[in-house]
Amino acid sequence: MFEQLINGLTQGSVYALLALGFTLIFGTLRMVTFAHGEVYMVGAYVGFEIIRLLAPSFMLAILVALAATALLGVIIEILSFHFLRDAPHVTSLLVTIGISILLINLAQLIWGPETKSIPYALLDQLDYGEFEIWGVYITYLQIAVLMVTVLLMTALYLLINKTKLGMVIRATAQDYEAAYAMGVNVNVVFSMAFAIGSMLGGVAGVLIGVYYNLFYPTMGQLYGLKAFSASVVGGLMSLPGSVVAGLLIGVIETFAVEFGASSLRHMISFLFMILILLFRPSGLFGGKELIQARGD
Amino acid sequence: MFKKMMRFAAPILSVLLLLAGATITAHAGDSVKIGLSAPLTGDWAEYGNDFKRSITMVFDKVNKEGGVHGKQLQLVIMDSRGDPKEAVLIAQKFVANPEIIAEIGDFSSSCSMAAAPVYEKANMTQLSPTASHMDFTKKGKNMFRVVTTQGIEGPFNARWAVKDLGKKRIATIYINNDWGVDANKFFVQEAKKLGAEVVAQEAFVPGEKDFTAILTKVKRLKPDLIYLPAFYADAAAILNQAKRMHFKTTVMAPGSLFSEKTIELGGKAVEGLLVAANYFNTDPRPAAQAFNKAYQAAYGKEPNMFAALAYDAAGLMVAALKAAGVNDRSKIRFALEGLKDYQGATGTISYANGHDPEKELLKITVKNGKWVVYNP
Repeated sequence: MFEQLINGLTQGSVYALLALGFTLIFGTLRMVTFAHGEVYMVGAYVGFEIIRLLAPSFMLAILVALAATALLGVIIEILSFHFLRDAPHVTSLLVTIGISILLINLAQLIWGPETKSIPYALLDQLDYGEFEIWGVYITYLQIAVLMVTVLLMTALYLLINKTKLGMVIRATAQDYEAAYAMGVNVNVVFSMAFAIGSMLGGVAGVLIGVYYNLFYPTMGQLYGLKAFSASVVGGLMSLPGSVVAGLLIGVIETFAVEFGASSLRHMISFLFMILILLFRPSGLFGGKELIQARGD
Repeated sequence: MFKKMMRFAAPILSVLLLLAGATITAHAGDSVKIGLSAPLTGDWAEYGNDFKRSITMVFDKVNKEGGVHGKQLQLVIMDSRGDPKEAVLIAQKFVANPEIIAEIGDFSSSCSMAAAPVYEKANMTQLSPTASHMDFTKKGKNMFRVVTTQGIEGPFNARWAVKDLGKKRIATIYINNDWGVDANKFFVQEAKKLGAEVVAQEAFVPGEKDFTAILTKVKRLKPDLIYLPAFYADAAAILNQAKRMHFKTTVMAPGSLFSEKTIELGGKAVEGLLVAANYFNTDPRPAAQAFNKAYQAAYGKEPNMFAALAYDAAGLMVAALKAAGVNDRSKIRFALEGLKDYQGATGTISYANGHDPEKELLKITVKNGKWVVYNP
């Protein structure tokens, strides 16, 4: 049981990391991006290339992936939002779906359609070790994934609530026209929110890519969908909400396998989401968003 | 005006073409076309490209020697991406093209079976190198395969596991598609008949990458053998995750895992993996050796089982065309049924007793990061 809990938390923390990105982007721009799973995929591939070609170093891989996905986030923001700010939201949403397909196809062109993995000689150098607790082997990488999720959530929380930049982001989220009138450069704020959200996806990509050591162009699709659901279940604009929902979904999935048919795991986790939304349409933490909804 | 007429005429024409498919004969010309439907992108791309390489090699050789009945063989390749919907669309395109006389493919049972009704209606022969689902050849009179079915492979493996290796507690982890469900079923049936206890049968959805939950559950049941009907990417993920949780046991799998990719992705985790294969490179039979040499000369690397099965499919197709001529789609099937003891790289093939060949399988294993013949 304990081992399944650890499995579920590891799986769930990926959903949580990605859901944080969704939440930040939606909270600031009031826009859903369906290219987030692909940003995660690009982050994973960048990490893969750094480890394979430059050096088997986790830190380096994460740093480069951060830079790459931040840039990618800004590009997506400009393409799908900047030029379409006054267009209906559906238009932006469709553009992000287009970008997601484009990125998958680009990855197929660059890296090929098949599953790639880091050669084992290199992977051994990344040896992150493991420890045993109650007969369960836990790798430090698993701990790192969990820690990074909690750390990033805390950092984001502080950034949004305790810093001047956070205040600017919140102001822009509430009413970007009023913020603009107050002298806020809203374009920069939007780009920055998108960049930070995408960086979270990029980190998740490197961590999970190396954890499973499987890299393939469609790796972001299911994770993107799960994370989006986690974000919705968490209340769409609540950072702790998306983390709690992400972890919960991971754990529920794992226990669905433990107590039932393993092929039903996705059905059960989505069923759980539907139930939550039926009883709490605004999500688990829906009432107390960090970034207040526009007062209209 | 013309445009308007075309708008009505085009669908009617295409329907007529489809209806006429059954009786259409190949155009006169200096070439004869064979369709190939295979996954060239996606998770199974490696297998589809194996098909392409082997068949191209056979056709090139035949063409250099003057072709079949004086006509050059031409391969029309379309990418099914491993998607049954796509395979049906390809089938419709193939049967609508009167120049295409027969089809080779698809790779997966799901794709082949989805497309089968289209070929059957058009009376076009569908020869799949690898579709091993039991129902595939029951879809019509024009469906043939080169690979042994899971109905033969499953019990063969069960006898190996229970009788030869003496395993008593068996767990299975299988991919939840047509092929995987069958592969699991026939293995489990025979294993139970032989007196082994099957402690768990866990299905996973195609595309799943996290197997820790399944493995944790299976590990607790302490099986002495895991049977793994899956493909290389999944199997590598499963065995790597098992290794990480210090879960060691004997692992056996159908021939689907016999690929270099399994070792490349699986690393140390696939050491000792037991597989029953249709084809192996050091198989001493002359047809197998001839194929191995020709493939290495053409592509500079060792062929795998899928390449060998596709090679036999191409060879069978050429033999059938020689017997049936190149003008009538409906004759190909009778020519295939008439072939006796065709010496293929994957064994001796006859279709007289049915469209599923029965062959002796070769036991192989992974040792020091290489596939070798299994020696107990």
